[in-house]
Order: sequence, then structure tokens, then C-alpha cells
Amino acid sequence: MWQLADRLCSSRLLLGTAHYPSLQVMRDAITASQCHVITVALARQSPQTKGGEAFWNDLNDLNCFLLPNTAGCRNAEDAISLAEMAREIFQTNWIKLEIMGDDYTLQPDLFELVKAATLLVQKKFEVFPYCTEDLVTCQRLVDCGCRVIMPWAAPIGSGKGLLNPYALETLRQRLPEVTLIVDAGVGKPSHAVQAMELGYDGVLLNTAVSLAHDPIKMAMAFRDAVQAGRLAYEAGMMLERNVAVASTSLIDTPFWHQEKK
Amino acid sequence: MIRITLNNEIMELDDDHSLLAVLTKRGFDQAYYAAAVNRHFIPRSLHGETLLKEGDVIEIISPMQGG
Repeated sequence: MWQLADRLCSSRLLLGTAHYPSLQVMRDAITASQCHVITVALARQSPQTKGGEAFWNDLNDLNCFLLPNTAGCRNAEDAISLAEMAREIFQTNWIKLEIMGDDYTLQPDLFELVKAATLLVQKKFEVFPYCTEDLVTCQRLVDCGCRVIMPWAAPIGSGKGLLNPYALETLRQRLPEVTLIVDAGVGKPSHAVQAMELGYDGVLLNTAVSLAHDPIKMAMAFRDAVQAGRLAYEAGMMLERNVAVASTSLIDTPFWHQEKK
Repeated sequence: MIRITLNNEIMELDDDHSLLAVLTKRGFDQAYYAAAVNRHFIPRSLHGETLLKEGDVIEIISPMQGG
């Protein structure tokens, strides 16, 4: 178990609920992943079509913590309203704060993000801001009361993996007390391993699982990847070297001659 | 009579102009809906006393899958 904001979680993998071939596959993938936190969104629905009802029922059966997002918002004011609506519906003060600043890259608007985070923290929300790997922005988010910071690995849905590992590593080193979760752009289990080996506390992803040919099997792959990366980080990895060092001591081995090749 | 917009659809209200009356009339009576008027969240506890005015824009949202 590990501490995520004010709760204890059993998994360091956080999973999105979008783009699955069906609700049944979504449920099975979430169960197979053994994740403990899933993200959800809000949208206009018609009561006549019972929009959202099936999904709502599934959410209540999955026994996961819900992390509603503010996807689609472009300014702080709208994000705050949507967060308040999410709190009423889902009965949680957790909010994944997303404020888009660019339609092409879906890059977050960091100025509006800090403004919204400041006000939401004052309104007693636990804010999980989706941001870039910019160190100063992340520090500002921490300063305004965010305990969890979620920098992207790459643009949402791109699957490109950690485009700027140097900056992500710097973030880890400069904010050692903050919970850091890589969010967005993770495409393969090896990307999740890489993030966890850097010392990130968790990985949040969606498309890499939901658009896999076999989402359930991929969910298991990410489950294991996140565990492997975390174990490696905790175990402490050897330092990289520029010279070869024989694994087997060559002294006194047969046919060994100390002649330079 | 006043005209409002609810989830992008124009509606005409005759007598009861409360937000609660509009939601009930349109079938929004489940726990998993939330409302905003003119982009400002209105808590469920205030739906009954929130009176709508000509031109108000109401957004009703419910859960959907998201990342």
C-alpha cells in the first residue's frame, strides 16, 4: 500500500476509462490491471437515452477510487465549475485538473492551471493537476497546495513515451517530497517501467490499454511493468559505466593470460 | 413566459421557473446529474430556490468515460 493524497492505494497504476471496445472490456481490463484509481469524465447526456446510467452502475461495482477530470475546459473558471459538479456527482474532492491551451498538442494552459489549482485548493479539493514537465510551474502548483503533480510524458494519446526524461528526472530530484505521477503519452509497458525507475510514484494511462488489440492482456502487462519499475527503483540500480567490467573474475581462470589484446 | 437554453436546446417555460422544476420536467431526477446555470455550478440543495431568467443557459452533465 502507498499513500496517494489522503488515501491508501494498493497499486501505483492509475487507469483511464475511455475508448474501450465495450463497457465489459473496460471492466475486465480494470480488474486485470489491479489498479485502485480510475479516471472519469463528465458530459451532457440526455435523460431519455439514460445516458451515463450503465457507466455509473459499473463505476459503483469496480471498487476503485474515482478521479474525475475537467477535460474540455479552457479556462480556470469553467474548470472550477466542472470540478464542483464532479464533486457533487461522484462524492469525492479529488479532481484531475485539465485545462487545455492548444488544440493540436492538447498541451495544458499552465497559467490557467495554477490559477484554478489555487482556487480549488481553497475550496478543499485535492487537486491532481495535469501539467507539462516544467519545473517552475510544478513548483508553483506545489506552492498553492497541490500534493500530487502529474506531468505528461508526451502529448495525450500519442503513445510516444518519455520525450524529456532529463526534465522528468530533474523534477523528481527537485521535488522529492511531492507525489509525482506521469500522466499521458505512455504507449508501452517499457515507458511505464522507465517512469517508475526514475522514482515516479505512479503512472496514469488510458489509450495504451484501451486501444490495444487485447486490452485485458495489456492491462496485465502494465500492472507488471509498474511493479517492476518500482521494485527496481527501490532496489537501487547500478551506476552506468563507460567501460566493460567482467562479471566473472578472470584471475586464476584457466587459459587466462595477462596479455593485452 | 421565458425562453432558456438547456444543453443547447431552447425551451419555453410557462409558470414554474425554478431550476428544479425544469430538471424534473425533463427527466433529470437521478443522483448522477449536476447542473450549472450560465457556467456556474448550482448545488442540488439550491435547485428549488434557483429561479431562471430569460436567456439563461443551463448545462446538465452526467458521468462518461474519460482519461
